[in-house]
Parts: sequence; structure tokens; C-alpha cells
Amino acid sequence: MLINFFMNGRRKDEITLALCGIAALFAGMINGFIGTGGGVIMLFLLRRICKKDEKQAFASVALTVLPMAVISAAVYFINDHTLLFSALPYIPFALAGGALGAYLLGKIKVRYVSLLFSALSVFAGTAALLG
Amino acid sequence: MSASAVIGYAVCFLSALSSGMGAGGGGLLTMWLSSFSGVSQLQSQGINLISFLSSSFPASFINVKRFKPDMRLISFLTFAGASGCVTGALAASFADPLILRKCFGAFLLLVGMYSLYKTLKTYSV
Repeated sequence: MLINFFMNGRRKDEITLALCGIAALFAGMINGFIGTGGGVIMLFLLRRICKKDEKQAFASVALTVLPMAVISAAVYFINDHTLLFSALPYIPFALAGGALGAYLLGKIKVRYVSLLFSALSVFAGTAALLG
Repeated sequence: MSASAVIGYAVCFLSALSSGMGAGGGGLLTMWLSSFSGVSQLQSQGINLISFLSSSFPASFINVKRFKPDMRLISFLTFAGASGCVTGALAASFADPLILRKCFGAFLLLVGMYSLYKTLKTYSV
């Protein structure tokens, strides 16, 4: 009954839902541990396991990751009370960037932005591993 | 204001811009802060989380209006994800900063490589 409620009343494989739950738990653990990454794991999970189309999956991830980030940030804040003060100057820039990004979504070609940031992630990841 | 702080704000803006477009780049602020601004790995991750929250909050509402996602499935995934978050964040607060940094680097590398492969494959650049 509970599973049917969560799956919107449709008959779906219960194993799929259980897998989704386990993967979401894993995504949450990664997000909490390294402060990022929950979204990319959830996106992968929703596309591959829950068979959501790309736009639906992206919108779902945006909503799922938000509370995950709130909880992770709250635990970080409990351990370090100076965190909010340190993060404060970054908030306007993040707000502006996020709003502009959402506005530009679908209006410009994302491929070059995606390529650039993927390459930067590879570089930064390698530097963090070696450094 | 120091040059390092200005670059940090620029990285924050660009990272949020990219995230808002769904093009990745989520961990770059953490990397900048921990490598070039003298902020500890754990605090960098916390700042990145708060910055992410600020950037994704407006985008989330725009996306909900646009695509009307399955809210019941989302509530289930959120509950599972939130449970994992508490465990992960608590583990991070007790972890060795060097191990935390290596794990962060390995994850960023893997995601970057996967994203690079996917982008090249999708667009045949």
C-alpha cells in the first residue's frame, strides 16, 4: 500500500522502488560526506532505474537535492558555527548565477558550458587527488 | 577585498550559473576555497552546500512549474536521501581532512570524466 502510494498508485516493480530508495540513500551519504554529488547520482538513478525522461528527471533531481543539501548544511553548521558567516558573502553570487542559469536553460546551447565544466572537474579532481 | 576573494566570488557565480543550466560544476567552489583560499576542506564543503542551496532554490521552483515532476516519488527519494545525508555529514565531521579531500577529488574526477564522455557522445563534438 505504501509503495503504491509513493509510486502514484501505478503498479510498478517493487524491486525498482527499493533500488531507487537504496540509491537515494547512497546519493545522500555522498552529498553529506563530500558536500556535493547528490544531484549527479540522483539524476543517473532516475534516468536508469526509474526510467524518467531527461527533463522530468532534472526537475525531480532539483527538488530532491534541495532538502538533502539543507540537511547536510545543517549538520555541517552544528559542527562549525562560523560556517554561515563564512558563506554569507557567496550567497548573492550563487543566487544571481543560479537564477541566470535557470533563465538561460533552453535558450542557449549548453554543450560548451557542459564541456568546459566537465574538463574543469577532471582537472580539479586530479589536482585534489594528487595534491 | 583580496584578489583571491574576488576570484572566489567569480567561481561561485560561474559554478551556480552552470548548475542552474544543468551543466555540472558543483564542486568547483569547494576546490577553489580549499586549494587557494586557505579554507579547510570541511568548511569549503559547507560553503559550497550553502552556495548550492542559494543557487538551486529559485531554479527548483522554475523547474517544478515547467515540468510538474512526480511529487510522491520525490517525497520517497527525499526521505531516503535525507537519511543518507545525516550519516554522510556526520562521517565527514569525524573524517581525516586528507581522506576527505582525496574522496572529494576521486568523486570529482569520476563525475568529470563521465560528464565529458556523455557530452562528447551526445553532441558528437
